[in-house]
Amino acid sequence: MAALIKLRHMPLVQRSVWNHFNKVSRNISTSKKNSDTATTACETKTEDKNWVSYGFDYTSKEEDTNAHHATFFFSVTLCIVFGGVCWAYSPDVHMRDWAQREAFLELRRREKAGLPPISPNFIDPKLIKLPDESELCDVEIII
Amino acid sequence: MMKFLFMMIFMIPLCFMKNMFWLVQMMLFFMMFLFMNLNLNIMCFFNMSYMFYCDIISFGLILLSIWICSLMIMASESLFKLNFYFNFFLFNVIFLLIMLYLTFSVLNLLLFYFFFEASLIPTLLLIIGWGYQPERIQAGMYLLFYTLFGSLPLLMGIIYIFNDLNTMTIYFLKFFNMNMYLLYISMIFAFLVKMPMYFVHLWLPKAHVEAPVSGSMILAGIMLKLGGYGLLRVMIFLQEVNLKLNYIWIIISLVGGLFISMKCFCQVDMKSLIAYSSVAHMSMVIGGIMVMNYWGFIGSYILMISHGLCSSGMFCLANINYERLHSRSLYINSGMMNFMPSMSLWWFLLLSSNMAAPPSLNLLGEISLINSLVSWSNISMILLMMISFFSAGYSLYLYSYIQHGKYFQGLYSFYVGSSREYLLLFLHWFPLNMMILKVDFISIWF
Repeated sequence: MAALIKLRHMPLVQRSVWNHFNKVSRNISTSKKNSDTATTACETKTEDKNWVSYGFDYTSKEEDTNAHHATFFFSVTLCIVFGGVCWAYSPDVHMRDWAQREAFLELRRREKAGLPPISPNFIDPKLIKLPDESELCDVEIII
Repeated sequence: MMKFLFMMIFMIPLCFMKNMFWLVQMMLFFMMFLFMNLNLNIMCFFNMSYMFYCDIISFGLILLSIWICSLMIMASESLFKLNFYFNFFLFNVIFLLIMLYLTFSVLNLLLFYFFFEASLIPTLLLIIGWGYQPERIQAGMYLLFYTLFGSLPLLMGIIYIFNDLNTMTIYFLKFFNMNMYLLYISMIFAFLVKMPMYFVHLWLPKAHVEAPVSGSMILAGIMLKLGGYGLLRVMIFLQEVNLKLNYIWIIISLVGGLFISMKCFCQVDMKSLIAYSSVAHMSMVIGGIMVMNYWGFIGSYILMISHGLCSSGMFCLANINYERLHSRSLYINSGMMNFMPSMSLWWFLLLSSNMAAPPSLNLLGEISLINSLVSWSNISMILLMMISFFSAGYSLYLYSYIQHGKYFQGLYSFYVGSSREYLLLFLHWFPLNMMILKVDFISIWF
């Protein structure tokens, strides 16, 4: 909060940071010094000696890092992140929203017209062929 | 459709090339990404081809099988490190994936049977080839012969259907009603053995325990669901006989689920406990399918998908412990929170999903199943209450025994969980707990 109020000093801050960095990175070097080569050689050796594997390859650090990056990319970035976005934002899965809209519109229309929500004769009774009583005498009723 | 099939077939030569172990896994993830996003406007069934099609249940189960197969390869890094025939292992995994993909996507009942049986062969090879103990031979025999015992009547039933109806297209079978008791028993027995139902469940603890981690993952993840998928497909034309006889299977599976849940408390082997919990979950799934409600079907399907992810993740966790301690015994694996506290998080997340704690997908499946079974009969409330209670009980028992308490004094040193193992568990847990936010893709059927 305090930082927000002090934002009016931003140009001043920027200038001072720029000046500081310019001063710090100034260097004049004349000859190759012994200390320079020694430090660079040391760094790679300690880095490679006790590296902790990601679990993909315990022999080669490069293979392990490559496998780690690739596996995380394909599984997390692609399948979970991009796949999740597509799943979450895919339009109207199974046409369910459309079906509900149509149903509500139909219900409203029927309500306005004074009809019941669905007519008892939705299918024309003449098209339904029921078996005779004689055929039905020994069929059991399953509820 | 064809493009995914060809992608899998052409990954086979890739398995035998040098340094391609991780590439195969990444190709499977890529295929999952493609399959997941190219089939987004699912109306009723899609991707019709000569003998393939895809329904909503096929879609979800194919996604689950591709996901579990890629995670199988990630979990089996020790084979790669020890150079133990990992090329042939990759070939087995890809071959199994092809068989499963074809099982879930064919239109023809006989082809479905063919691929259903064919998926047993790579599973058997996985158990016998890469398992850990000598008991795996007997486990393989149990797996093979239990399934074959049930599936011969299934073959005869399919051929009888073809003789009678002159079609074996699954989509057309809904117009028929086969009213024969013998046909009913022969058709569903194979799927009940595969699910498994209580009396024919003996192959499951043996096969799950003796299998390597990848074998356990695929068995718990997908192979059990083959039975559920078969039941969902075959019930369509057996509805009338099912309404008369379903009480037998519901009672056997629910009471059996209760006994199995209680038996979980007696287990000493971690994997055995997880295997028995699979039987208890599947018993509810059988109950849900047999009552012939819409909610029963939806609940059983959601529970199948969520159990696939959850059980597979728990087997991965058991293997993570096994790789370090070389024992699956609960006594030796106790007090792990002292050594791998980050792994306790994953044990907790997956075990809480196993007991159907919110916000996991198991919760949605169990709620739908409880609703459907109680609507069928009020007395099933007692059985369901006991099964849910005991499933919470043994999940907590497993968690607290493994994580809390004093650790085994014989341990020397081992490696804390690697990034790959955490990723493996994350990829199991994330769909499980996040899919509940948008269940549309797997829960709307007709």
